[in-house]
Formats: sequence, C-alpha cells, structure tokens
Amino acid sequence: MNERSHSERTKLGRSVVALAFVVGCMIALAALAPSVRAPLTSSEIDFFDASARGLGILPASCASSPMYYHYHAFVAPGNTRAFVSNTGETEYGATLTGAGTYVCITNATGLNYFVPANTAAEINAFKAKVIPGMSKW
Amino acid sequence: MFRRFGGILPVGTNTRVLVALVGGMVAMALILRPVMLVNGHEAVMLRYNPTADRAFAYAERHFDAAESESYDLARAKRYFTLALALDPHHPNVRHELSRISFLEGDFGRALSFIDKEISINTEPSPASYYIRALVKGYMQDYAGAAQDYETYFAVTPANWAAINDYSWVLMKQGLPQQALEALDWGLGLWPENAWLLSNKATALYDLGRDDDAIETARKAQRAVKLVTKYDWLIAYPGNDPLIAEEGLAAFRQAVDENLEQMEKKRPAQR
Repeated sequence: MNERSHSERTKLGRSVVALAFVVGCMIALAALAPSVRAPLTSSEIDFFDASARGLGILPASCASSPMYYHYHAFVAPGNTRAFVSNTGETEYGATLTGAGTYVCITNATGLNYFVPANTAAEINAFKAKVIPGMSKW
Repeated sequence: MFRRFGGILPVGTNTRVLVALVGGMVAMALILRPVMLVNGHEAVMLRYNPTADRAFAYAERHFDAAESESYDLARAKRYFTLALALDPHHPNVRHELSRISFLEGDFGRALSFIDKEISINTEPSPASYYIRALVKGYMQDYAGAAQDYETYFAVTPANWAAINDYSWVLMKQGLPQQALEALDWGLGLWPENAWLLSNKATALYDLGRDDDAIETARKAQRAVKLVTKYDWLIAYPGNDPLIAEEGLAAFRQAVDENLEQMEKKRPAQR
C-alpha cells in the first residue's frame, strides 16, 4: 500500500515537474520573442495645418499630460503654478535635493532656484516679493 | 528538501536539475521582460483589491511614450475606464481618456471627456485647458482653441509647446503678427526649438517677410536635424514609441518642404 502510494506520488510529482517545465519554456519563449505588435498610429503623426500662404504649421502636444510640464511632476493641489516633485527633478539646470512641493524660478541674475511651496499662500507671498526680478517660473 | 512538500515531488538529481532549469528560465524571462511581472502583478491587484487610485496609477504606467517597454495604450485605456467606473469623480481620469480619444482621432469623444473633466474637477490641471485647446484646434474651432490656450497661460507658466500651438491657432485665424509675437517670446526661452523656429518662419512668410522667413526656416532645418526620437516622444507624449521614427521623419520632411516651397516662390535674386 505504502509502496503503491509512493509510486503514485512519484508519478504525480513527475507530471507537476513536466508541467512546470512546459510553462517555464513558454514564459521564456514569450520573453525571448521579439515584440511583434503593430505600431499604433495617431492623429498627430503627420498633422500639419496649412497656413494662409500654403506652408505647413506644426502643432505639438508636449504639455498634454495632467502632470505639470516639468517631467513626471504633478501640479500642486491648490496652486497650479507649483508642482509636486521627487528628489532629483531638474528644471532650467537646477536640481531638487529633496521631494516636496516647489516652484522653479530664475531671478534677474540668471540663477535658478527651487522654492518650497508647501501652501499657495506661502508661494504667493514669496512671488509677491520676487516677481520683479524673475524672468521665468 | 522536496519531502517537505508532503513527498509530492520525488527526490532525485534529474528532478532537481529540471526544477532549477524551470526556475532559471522563469527568472530569465522576468529579467528580460520585467513588464510581464508588472502586468501580472497589476492584474492580480486590480482583481482582488481594485481602487480608482490604483487603476489610475497603473494606467499612467502604460501611457508614457518615453517608456517603450511598458507602453500599452489598450491596457491604459482599460485601466482608466476601470478607474472611472470605480470613482466617477476621480481627478484626471477623463483628461487621460480625452487624450486617448484624441490620439485615436475621435475628437468629438475627446472633447466630451475634457469638457466633463473641466466641469467636475474643482481643481483641473492647467493641462486640461491645453488638451481642450488642442482638440478644438484639430476640430478647426480655432477661436475656441485660442481662448483655452489663453486660460492655460493664465493659470500656469508658459512652455514652448503651448506657445507653439497658440501660434498655430492664431495663424489659422489670420493673425500672423500675434503669432509671431508669441513665438518670439517663446524663442527667448527656447532659442533652438525646432517647432518654434519652423512656425516662426511660417508666420513671417504669412506676413510677407519672405527673406526673414527663409532665414528662419534654415535655422529650423538645422534645429530639426538635432531633434531625436526621444525629443519627439516628449513633444508628443502618449504616442506609441514605435512611431517616433516615422513622426520625426514626417516633421523633418515638413520643415524641408516648407523651406523648399519658400525658396521656389522667391523672386530671382538680382
């Protein structure tokens, strides 16, 4: 009885291993197979609107993500001129050293800063003082 | 060690080799295509613990043109739709569905989504106005588009794409001088931008300043040669990374053709 049971278990075990082998092969093949999906064309790919004298006008759509146009940074709630960002975000050559809510400004000397903007009131107070010297933000 | 599993798996060298082989293949597959693991994980999480936030976050992952391995528009659309079903007021879901409809060329649906987003979101992303402007522009409602671009500029810092597109709808309304002013402002911040240069050449040409137009178009031609596939995908986010090369080629060709047309029509130099 015990020997028969052991034999059945051995057969079952071999079947499990064989099945796992087949599944493993399929996964490996799927990973190795080149991506064959067809490219998805879009309305934008060759859209050029005609100007009055017949030239092609070229729109873009760079700022269409709901994220701020600063890459991968969301607009700060309550303050659409600030953005929530992770450490390492770079804007106009300035790099964030810590995650948080910021606005990037360039003052009259051309230096760039990330200014903490934890609340709309905070950033508005800051802007009220520095706007005359700012060239972009 | 297999005896720990109730003796189901036999102990033997061959079995161990097989198990190691299978494990190795699966590991290799997941290393080569980590997206398979990610997709599997997402499907499980959304099956057993679906939330709108989760569905939205997963959808965003598949809607980033700069991430060619994970880009999957159909999956993104499915997850955004799920997010909407789970929370009809979730911010930005309709915005993203509008972008997808726009890419698919269904401008009516795109407009409907973005209108609804702006009406129900108490703090819509500035980009929602940008998207609505873009959709209206494609629908040839240039005045409506200009109005939305102006709203966008009022609530967020300008960026080159918005300036570029604003110049497009101004030119289409027969306002090349205003377009030129917007483009010059943008070129003050992004002097080598190929899109801005190209449209500036067009605005100058529409103003009858043919020589200036040709000179600017030549600058655009030089600038567009430096545009990479990655730049193109940043300029047209949401598009399939597989069409970047085709899109970039079309862009270069359009800049070349604009210049060629201007030079052809130029009166012979004395």
